[in-house]
Amino acid sequence: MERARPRPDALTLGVLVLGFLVLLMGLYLALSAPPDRQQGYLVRILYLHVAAAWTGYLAFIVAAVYALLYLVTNRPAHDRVSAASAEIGLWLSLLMVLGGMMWARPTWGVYWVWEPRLTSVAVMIAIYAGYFLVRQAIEDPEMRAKAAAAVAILGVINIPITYMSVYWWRSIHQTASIDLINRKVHMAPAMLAALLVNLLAFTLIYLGFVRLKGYLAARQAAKEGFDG
Amino acid sequence: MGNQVFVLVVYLATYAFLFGYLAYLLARLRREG
Repeated sequence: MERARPRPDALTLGVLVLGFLVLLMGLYLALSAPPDRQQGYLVRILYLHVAAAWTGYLAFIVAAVYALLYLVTNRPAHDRVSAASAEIGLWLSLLMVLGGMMWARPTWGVYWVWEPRLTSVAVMIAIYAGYFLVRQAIEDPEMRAKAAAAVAILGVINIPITYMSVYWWRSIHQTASIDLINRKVHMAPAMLAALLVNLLAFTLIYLGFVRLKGYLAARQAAKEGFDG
Repeated sequence: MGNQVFVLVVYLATYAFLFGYLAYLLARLRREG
């Protein structure tokens, strides 16, 4: 008997459409926000760079939570969400690094420097690249899901280290503009609005992408007989 | 002025990636559906 193929629902498409509309609003706010006293218009890269960084962190945390859920419940759907979230997180992190490099060249004078924040980000990307190497290397779906879950759970330990790196080892990378540690916002209100709207847009797009990836993975799992 | 154009290019490149990834996912769903 042929199984029903999972299809993207109205919620997924709605979240994606809304995400891209909010992204347009984010562009408008970013372009109308005032220039920075020292960096001028280059500061506008921040609205994308920070939004991509935060959603990347979120994606890896979600990947770890669903990995843990998979180990507890043994439901393949949890493994699929974990893998989908880790993949989107990896793409967002690469986007964050590329945007950051474009920002670093005119402000720091170099594209890359091995300082604590950038080094911990490089480690983070290596961990999640390794996550997909593990998934590729193991053929048995159950073993693959278990090994990948272990990497996702251990890998998430690096997220708070990456976040805190700018406080623990002060170097060239600036500290957070929305400082959760000291509960302070180091931005003008118009800049903060541009950042928050872009952050919302990236979060919605991330959610939509994870759901689309989840549908694709569900179809592949049905072929492998590792669905449910 | 140069910096404004540079920033716009960074924004366009980011959007191109996001739309490209969306198109890739939708195309794969259509191909496999």
